[in-house]
Amino acid sequence: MKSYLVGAGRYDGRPLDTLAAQPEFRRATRNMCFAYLAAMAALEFFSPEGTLGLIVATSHGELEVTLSFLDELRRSGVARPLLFQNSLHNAILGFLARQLGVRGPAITVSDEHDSGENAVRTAELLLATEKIDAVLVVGVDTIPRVHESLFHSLYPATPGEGAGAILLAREGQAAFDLSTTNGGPVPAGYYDSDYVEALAVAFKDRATEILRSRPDGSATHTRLQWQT
Amino acid sequence: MAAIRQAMERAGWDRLRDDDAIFLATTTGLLPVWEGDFLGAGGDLLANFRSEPLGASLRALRSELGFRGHAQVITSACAASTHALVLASRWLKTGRAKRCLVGGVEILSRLTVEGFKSLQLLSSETATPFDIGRKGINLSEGAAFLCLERESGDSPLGKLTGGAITNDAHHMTAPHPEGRGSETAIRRALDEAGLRPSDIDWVHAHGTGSPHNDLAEGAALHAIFGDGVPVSSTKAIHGHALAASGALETIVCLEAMRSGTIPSTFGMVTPDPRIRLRHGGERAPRRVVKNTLGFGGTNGAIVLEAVT
Repeated sequence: MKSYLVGAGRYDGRPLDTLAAQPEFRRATRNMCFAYLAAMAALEFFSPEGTLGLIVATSHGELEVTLSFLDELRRSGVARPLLFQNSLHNAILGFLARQLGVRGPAITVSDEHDSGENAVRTAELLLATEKIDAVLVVGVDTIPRVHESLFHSLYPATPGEGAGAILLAREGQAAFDLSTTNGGPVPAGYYDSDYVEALAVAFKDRATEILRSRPDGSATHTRLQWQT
Repeated sequence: MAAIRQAMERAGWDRLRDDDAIFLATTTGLLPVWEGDFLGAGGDLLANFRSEPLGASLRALRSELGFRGHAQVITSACAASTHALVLASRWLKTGRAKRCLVGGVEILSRLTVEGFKSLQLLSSETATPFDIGRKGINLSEGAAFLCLERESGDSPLGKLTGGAITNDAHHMTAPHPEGRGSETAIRRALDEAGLRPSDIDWVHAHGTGSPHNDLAEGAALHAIFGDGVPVSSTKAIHGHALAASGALETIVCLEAMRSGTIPSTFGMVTPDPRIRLRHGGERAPRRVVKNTLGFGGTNGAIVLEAVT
């Protein structure tokens, strides 16, 4: 069964201050805010009467909050409950599901460079087997602002951060299929789950092909077939 | 790896093939490998920090097993390994693989223990799920794996006939107070299995001993099963192994089906009257529901049936 891209969005780099001023975002992490903004852009294409599944792809998850929690524990011996709650690897999913009212299947996938691709494969699986109308896939990774130099020294080929979201359904504008191939130069703003954002950009630009290269030397080749 | 090798030996799999698939559940992956360095216990922080992404667990497994096929890490908190089982069953059903290795692994870390303490969820005594005096959960660690096949093969331990994943969309850590997401997951799993609630012989609950969780889950189970189907939790015996709990307790269910005995809820002395369930049962279980709930509002339920 083919699945189709019917909507897409991405975090556009806007400052998060206005979002942070809203009560439900006061304690939201950068990952949650990026993911939310990307998701909302994609959901412009979705009817609110439909049933939605949700897959979040993230390689590092809430690493910044995890490091902050451990820093606090080391310094003062105090474990802060809000930091712990937000450090959970599916915290982004929990936040998005609540904000978007998603009660269908909702899963976090975390597979390093394959996070975005595996999330899309999981979404296709759910579309083929669940009673849902569409699946929202959100890929998000951010660079922790605590211990940033440690992160960069470990991941010199991962200088970027961001979020992308796509909406998949059983019929729609662009059928696609992805395959793995050998890679080329890694994009300047690469981050582990950026495949989802790459798809979102391709949808907006009505591209027919994208090649996403990864630091491990592989690449994902995706063909998009646009319905007239 | 020990759990994987045991499972594969029992299944008669001498090695994994590249057209198999792996679904691995974990909540913190290899965090304990680098956490100690980070908290100042010495060691090589830079080298050990490479274990930080949750996918690092899978990377290590692939290397150990020499596996190049499809594999993914599910990190849906305490419901992660039931999610992995549901996804694996779908993977098999749609012909994407003929065999799946599925399981969960959890290694306790200071972050996990201190974090749960900060949320006041831990009990300093043995957990007493569904008991009126329950004070909280006992954390544990471990690994549990199952080998799933599309065809029944030689002497299968059971059949996975239904499964579902839902979300409460309610709160980051607390479940919906009436367990609505959990109720939906169980009903959908029963639907897929083609069974009615009265067809079920036993429900192995998530049953952590947490004051709120047990209430919410109890509400969901009562809404579906009333007091007609026995319900119990075994977490007082083996603890709450977080992401591994679904897989571990699925194995408990398979053993209960094999032995013809429903384990009671160890530690429960006085059932909480607000949790209106039938505790304990005598019927040999042949159709079982395994239920799980997790942080982030996640729910996962599966239906297991004995092989006739």
